[in-house]
Amino acid sequence: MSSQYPSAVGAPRPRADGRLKVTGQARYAADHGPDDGVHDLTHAVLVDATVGRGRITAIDTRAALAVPDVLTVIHHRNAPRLTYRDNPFPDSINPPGERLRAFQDDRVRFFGQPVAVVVATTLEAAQHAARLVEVTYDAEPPALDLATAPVDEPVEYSRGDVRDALAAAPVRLDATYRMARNHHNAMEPHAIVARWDGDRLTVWEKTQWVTDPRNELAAAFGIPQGAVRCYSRFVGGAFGNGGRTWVHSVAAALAAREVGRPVKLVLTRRQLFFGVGFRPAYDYRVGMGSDRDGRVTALVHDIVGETSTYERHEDDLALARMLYDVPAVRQEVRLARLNVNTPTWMRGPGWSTAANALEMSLDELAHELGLDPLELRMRNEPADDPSTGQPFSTRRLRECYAAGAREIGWHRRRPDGTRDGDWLVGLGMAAGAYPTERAPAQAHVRLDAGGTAVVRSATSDIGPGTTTSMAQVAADALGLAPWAVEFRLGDSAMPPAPVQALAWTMASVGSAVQSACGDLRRTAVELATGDERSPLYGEDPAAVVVRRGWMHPRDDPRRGETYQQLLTRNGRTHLEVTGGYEPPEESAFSMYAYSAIFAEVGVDSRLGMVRVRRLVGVFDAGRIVNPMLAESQAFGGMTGGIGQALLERTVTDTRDGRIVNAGLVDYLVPVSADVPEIRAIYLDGSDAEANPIRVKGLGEVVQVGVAPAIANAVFNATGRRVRELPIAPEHLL
Amino acid sequence: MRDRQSFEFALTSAAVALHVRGGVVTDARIAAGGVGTVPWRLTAVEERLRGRRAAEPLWAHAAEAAAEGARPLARNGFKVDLLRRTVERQLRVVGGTP
Repeated sequence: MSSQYPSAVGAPRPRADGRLKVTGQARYAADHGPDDGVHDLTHAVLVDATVGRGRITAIDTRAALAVPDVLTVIHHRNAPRLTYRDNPFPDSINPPGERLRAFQDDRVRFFGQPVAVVVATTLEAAQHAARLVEVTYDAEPPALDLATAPVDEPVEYSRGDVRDALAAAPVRLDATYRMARNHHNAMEPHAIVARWDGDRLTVWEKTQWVTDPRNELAAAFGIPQGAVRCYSRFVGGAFGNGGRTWVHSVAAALAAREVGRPVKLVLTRRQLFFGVGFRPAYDYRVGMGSDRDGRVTALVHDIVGETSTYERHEDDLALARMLYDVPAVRQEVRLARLNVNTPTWMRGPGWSTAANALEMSLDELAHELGLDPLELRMRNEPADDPSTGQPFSTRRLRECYAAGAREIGWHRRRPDGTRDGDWLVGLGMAAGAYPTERAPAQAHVRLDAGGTAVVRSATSDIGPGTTTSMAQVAADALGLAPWAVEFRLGDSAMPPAPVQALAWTMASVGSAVQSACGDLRRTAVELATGDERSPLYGEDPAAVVVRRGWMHPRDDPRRGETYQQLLTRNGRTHLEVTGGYEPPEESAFSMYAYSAIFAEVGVDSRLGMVRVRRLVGVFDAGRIVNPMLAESQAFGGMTGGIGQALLERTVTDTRDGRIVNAGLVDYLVPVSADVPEIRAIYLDGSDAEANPIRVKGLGEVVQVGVAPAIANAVFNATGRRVRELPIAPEHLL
Repeated sequence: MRDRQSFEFALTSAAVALHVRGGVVTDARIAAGGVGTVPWRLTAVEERLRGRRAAEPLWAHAAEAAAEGARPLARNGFKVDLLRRTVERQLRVVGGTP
């Protein structure tokens, strides 16, 4: 390969849309209007239930309708019956159960459930009128407590004989870890602009997957999927709750149909706490047995997590089955049926929850044994995946440990921490993993006679920089400079892509982009080698390479021609190809991305304040397509971990299910002052088994293990084991 | 004293003004925040300070009185102790350690 031009993949390129974002030109869902053909826009505001469970007995809309500019108030008594076809996975990511429907019955399932929507020609009128809608309820006591709510039958996993292994273990641990409910709190609120043209619906929606609103709205209104078009070019963060299409989107589309005009609906920050999912709270009981050398022999997890009364959201809590070489493992996961809206994925879904419990308990075991926590993990490092017996595609956790220990200065760690004035200082670490997932995807590429290319796929860019990184992949596959390639996304009419979640976009869409662009490059080369007028006529196409749009025999860089010359001479305006990626059904390998997190914290010895002083994350994530974007992802994920560890908890009023801290003033996400020096290190490498791009996924694993590393550092600093996240000053007084 | 480092109300806070002449506290004004619906003057602490030597045993002794008469609610009982500690810390910050 010629080294004259470095490959685009692997280069730290800034975001292609960075200028649009920082100059306010990037338009998000709620920004759409006349420029997009949305005229006579009206505004919808939801009226939310003020009881946690019960029935609506009366709705008085007279005062609301009397407000000037109000067009209508829609509720279950006057709403048309909607079709609501079933729309299960994989057409959607709706979890099993019966999804919440827009104004189709009188039942209140949770506090804050939308019970009516007001539509007006001005936002102010709609907001005012929404407060004037009088709803009367027959309230019932809601189920709100994880410990006492009815639970479903457990989902069980078992290998080996846990009972015998525990009984025989000379060292045993039994501890319950409690993790608070977390809310996503992306900067951009959920928003939708909906416009009907006859029986066709167009929506501009905040979503991680343009296909999902298309399918869900089509299902709700009983129209073909092809009759709905969803656009979502820019997303201001999502962290998981933009994956599925929530009831407010159906409410907005319904409102638009009823008033015969386009409707915009933007959830308030407060409403974002009630209607668009959350990371469920968990009670996580860990039983562990070990020999005196720290070989873990038995692991028992009895887990209770939150779900709603009407759907089963199940997090994937499989971490403990594969992270360490434990012969006997038993897990029982029970879901408590609460009067809440259905939880959903949140960054590092399941795996971060599981890592919190597993990694805090391992730290306890290390302390019990008088062993360095890092050494304990080394002693339980498996040769193959203990849950499947498969070899690992790549697993370089030992290297992560070594790099992280070096970077944080792990040798400075003392079993009882150290002291710095009023501050107790401690070091902690934790490991994590996240599966390397892949899904079918397609991409379309068009190479124009001008020598530039446009690649399109119906994926999203919720923050990772997909627009930028896909162009890098395409540039290399086409043999073009990165600036000559534009990647477009966020339109449901584009070739299908999976939801942007589970850290699988590069593996899936990236592979499709690479495949389509490779096909196009070969098409062009074959056109040239078969063209008598081409300097490449008669060459073996396999021996022709393309660099910066210049096709030439591999061994003769000076003889060749450009794409531009080839297309122009042949009277072609463009070449185009649609290509795809279809992952193999099964793999012979166990594929995961890994994290090793190291934290240094200070705890005020008298006041209990915890301050993270340093945070180091080392990741084994396969090939890194864009180190600049990857670093940014790690900073975001690790900051989320600080929130999980020390700040973020949703608090419910136990009387009625009202969330009492439903806002950014009271639900604490880390601010800049809470984020210390963060260092993110990606091991240099790639994973040839994982997918054609050789990536393992990084958007999720960057948050897995962060919170327990901080919690373990708090223990090292103070000698106090707080088995509750987030850790608050009150736990440390 | 707060869990988040900015954009956050205090769990407990203490405002301390000390008049010190010749090593003796001649007057003191102490108020606490985060423990009531309004800033709360801690006169009991002030009384313990006046006329005493501005030196180490005094701060903890005076701060002991910070939560006198406090009636915590179900979930904020920790603030009683936290308030004493916050006042003590701030007395030391303002009054100094020898």
